[in-house]
Amino acid sequence: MKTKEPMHRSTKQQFVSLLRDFARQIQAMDDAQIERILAGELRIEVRAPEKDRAKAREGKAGCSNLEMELLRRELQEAGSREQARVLIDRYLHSKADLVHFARMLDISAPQKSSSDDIKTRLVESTVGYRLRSAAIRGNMSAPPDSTGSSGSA
Amino acid sequence: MPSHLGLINVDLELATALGGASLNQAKVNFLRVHRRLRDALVPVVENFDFILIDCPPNFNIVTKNAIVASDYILVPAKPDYLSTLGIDYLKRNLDRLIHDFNEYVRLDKNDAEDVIGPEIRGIVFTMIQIRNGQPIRSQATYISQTKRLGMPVFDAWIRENKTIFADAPEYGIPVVLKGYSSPTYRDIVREIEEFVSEFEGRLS
Repeated sequence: MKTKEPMHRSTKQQFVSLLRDFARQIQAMDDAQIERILAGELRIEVRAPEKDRAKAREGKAGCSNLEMELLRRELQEAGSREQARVLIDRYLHSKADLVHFARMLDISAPQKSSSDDIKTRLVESTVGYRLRSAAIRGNMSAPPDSTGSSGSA
Repeated sequence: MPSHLGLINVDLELATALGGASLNQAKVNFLRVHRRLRDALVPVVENFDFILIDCPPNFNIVTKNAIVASDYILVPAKPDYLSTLGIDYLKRNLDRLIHDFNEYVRLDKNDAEDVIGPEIRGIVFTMIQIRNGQPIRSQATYISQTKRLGMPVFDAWIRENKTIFADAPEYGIPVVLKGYSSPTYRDIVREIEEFVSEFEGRLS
């Protein structure tokens, strides 16, 4: 069952609206359908439309896209893992922020990972990777990231 | 031209020709050994548009011969942790080889025009696992990381497909000429064509 109205209002109002819609849908069912639900043959599923879920996910992230872009640029210039960690702690305060930023950089951040694991992964995939590469090539005065693009091949 | 089992010890045989009684002799032998393939290709090079030399995944004398003989280097790599580390090791060893070779060449005024400068034209990521038409995120991570380092990465990639690639060497013809009818095969052929177009574009 899907709500038709876009969720622009507060979470409480959205939830009330969802339950009203849910009640209307139940009202519209005939007895046979109700019996099949009670017998476990049919299932009622309540979920927000994909667009609204995406908005909800975005809403959870406290850090704006502009700030994330700023963080990405600052990470390109960061000279050490410690500095990168400080930057990440400064900008990203929730797991939703961390996951969102990881996605922005094409970095794998499984839902089950802890915030600390995601931070470590972010550090290693940005500054850590650059420093490691410079060390292997014997060039420790590594230039900052040259592209900063996050698209995949 | 295919490889041959008779070449199985070629690296060892070439290594025996290295060294020398003096430093000067060692340098001369270094040049002689490392440009054997380059010298052998000189008489035929005009007959071909491209000469592709498939190298083993190491940096032995055979690989070095191929690099010395080449104008450009194409690096196939898997987008994973160890393989992307390997790109950095390759770059380091490549710079070292070019430096040493050119330094020895310049010692001999007769060979001064033989300096080499093969360039890495691009890294093509291979064995890609596809989801929704794109590399899975754990592989996309390494692709993006390599791009962020400023390495020349091809936009095209070659996907993993055991069914089509596993027995390809048995038939001795390129996969694109095999003529399977599955949609996956058509996708693979299209991806290979995209890569070839990009490769030619980068060379020109």
